Amino acid sequence: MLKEACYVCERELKHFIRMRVQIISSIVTPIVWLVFFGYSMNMMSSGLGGINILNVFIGGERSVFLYFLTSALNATPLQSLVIQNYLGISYLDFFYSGVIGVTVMFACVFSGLSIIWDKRFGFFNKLLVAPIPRLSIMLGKTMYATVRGLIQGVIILGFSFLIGARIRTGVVGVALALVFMLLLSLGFGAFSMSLGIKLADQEALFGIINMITLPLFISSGAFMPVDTMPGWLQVIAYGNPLTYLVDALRLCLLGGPYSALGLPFSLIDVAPRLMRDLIALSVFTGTFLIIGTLLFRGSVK
Amino acid sequence: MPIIEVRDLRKVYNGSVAALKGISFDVEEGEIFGFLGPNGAGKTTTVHILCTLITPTGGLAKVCGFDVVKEPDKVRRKIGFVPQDISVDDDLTARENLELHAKLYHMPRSLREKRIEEMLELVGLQERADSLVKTFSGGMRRRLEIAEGLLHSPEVLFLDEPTIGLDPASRMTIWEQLRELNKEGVTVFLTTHYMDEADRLCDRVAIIDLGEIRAIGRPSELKEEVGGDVLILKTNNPDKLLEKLLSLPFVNSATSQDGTLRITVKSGEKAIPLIFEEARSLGVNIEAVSLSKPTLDDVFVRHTGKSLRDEKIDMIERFKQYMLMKRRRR
Ligand SMILES: Nc1ncnc2c1ncn2[C@@H]1O[C@H](COP(=O)(O)OP(=O)(O)O)[C@@H](O)[C@H]1O
Ligand SMILES: [Mg+2]
Repeated sequence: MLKEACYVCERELKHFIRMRVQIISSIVTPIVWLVFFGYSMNMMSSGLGGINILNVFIGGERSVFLYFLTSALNATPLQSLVIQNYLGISYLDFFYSGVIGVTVMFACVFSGLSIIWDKRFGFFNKLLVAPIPRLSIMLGKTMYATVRGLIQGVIILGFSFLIGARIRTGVVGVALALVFMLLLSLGFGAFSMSLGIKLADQEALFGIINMITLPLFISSGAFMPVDTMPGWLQVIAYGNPLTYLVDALRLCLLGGPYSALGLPFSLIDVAPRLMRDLIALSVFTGTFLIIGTLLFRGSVK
Repeated sequence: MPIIEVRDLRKVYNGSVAALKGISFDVEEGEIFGFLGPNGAGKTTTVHILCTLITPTGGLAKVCGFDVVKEPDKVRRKIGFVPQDISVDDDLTARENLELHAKLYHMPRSLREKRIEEMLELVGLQERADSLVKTFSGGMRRRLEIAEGLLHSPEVLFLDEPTIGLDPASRMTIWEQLRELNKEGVTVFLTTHYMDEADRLCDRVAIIDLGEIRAIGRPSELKEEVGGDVLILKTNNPDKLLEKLLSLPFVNSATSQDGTLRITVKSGEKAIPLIFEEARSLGVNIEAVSLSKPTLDDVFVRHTGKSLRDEKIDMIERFKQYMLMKRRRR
């Protein structure tokens, strides 16, 4: 079963490698975000000082000096702002985990297209005629989504590091982050497969995915901390699997201070919250693995 | 024991479309067996059931002794499948397509390479083995598809309209390859709506229309049933000759119209010299003779009341559209 799934996965990876434009865009887009948003928000938070909500929570190290300046001028010093700024997280540090999460999501949510294409062009029948376990087909395709999500996530992580984002927890944290990326890649892969099995044409899948990715993306806390969102958005955020990935990535990579837990940057302190994220993500992934499996079983007799 | 055994096979789609209304036939080992019928006759449905892709609504189908519903995995190991719509992977090279196929059929690595080389040679694609399939012509894709169907040395090869939309030269090549393969012992089951394909390639043909088999037999037998070859004679004394002809045992029928005789005989080639002899002994001159053979289309008309010829354009158009769609992919 696993062996056959690997063959199916290998084919998908070959396709991916040949789609130059797609590879480039899937890597360049998050990099553009990182560079433009990451840096420009840094500027903004330093420039606007006290009136920037983001700054309240995650303010930049580089902005501390400017903050003092502006707050002195405005003469409205808020003690809490000062303390949180001492945590020393730039917007880039805050933001890059979010970009990784969103990248992972986009890398996986379209993978169900391959089932639709294969059905339409008859390749699916060819797989079904082969003497392989039926489920290995779905498994292979989901595996591909997972591998792709992980690869793209790692590339963005590496790039973030290169442009100055900081990892404050070390090897264990990074390893844990990878596990979380893998988990949600698998979940989004299975989710997309479920759609692919059910839907007959790619436009329908594109439509649904486009409809849900934007809300997922905005409510995930990739741009701003969930705590600062309006209440109704928070409700959505807590029902959004991406929120838990982004949160878990921040905890794993930063050790928690982004949410003002304070020093030291240690994984132990954030373990309970990581556990919560792990459970939430496992539930999501498990649910869609089961749904996908059932749908697939039903569709191939 | 027949290698394919079908009894009262039925398929109803969505509870309403009766695609197969209870067909029965046997295919013997080593045969090239053809399903001849127009678009919508139920050919693809039959192939898909035999290849374990869909379940029948009723009846029995066995391939190599295994029930396609109860032991699909055993059937899958024995068969090769070349679908109607070309489905080799455009974004892989020919060799990569074959490699994937070999892996999915659990061929040992040592055998894989050798067999892939052999198949590439058989279908004449060695030189393009490492090009992406999206650069291939329709004929090349078909050939690759066939190579794939054969790669794992199946006992029965199923081909659903293997030459649809191809130019005459490519069709000939494919026929040649299928004959070659059949000589090596592979049983071939193919569907077609081309009567010449059924006629020239198949040992036996089943005529299928609207989900029912109307006739089954060797092409030559089926054609004989229509009434034999048609001879048209021009002569200076039609009446005298006609009288004589009607008394000859090998003449099935003879009519005269405007000094032209229309005669049906079992075998035109054998009848012509005999008729000439009779004419000479009667002192009648034959000025011109033409021989036309009945085609499977005549057989088709006899059994279904309609002609296969009307179908062709429709199918070729469909194929073109399909290739266009395929190019637009991604
Ligand atoms: N998946 C399907 N759902 C509903 N009807 C179908 C389906 N596939 C085929 N049919 C119908 O069954 C009949 C036989 O189709 P098919 O086996 O494809 O014929 P052929 O291959 O001889 O052209 C047609 O009337 C067709 O419309
Ligand atoms: Mg068909």
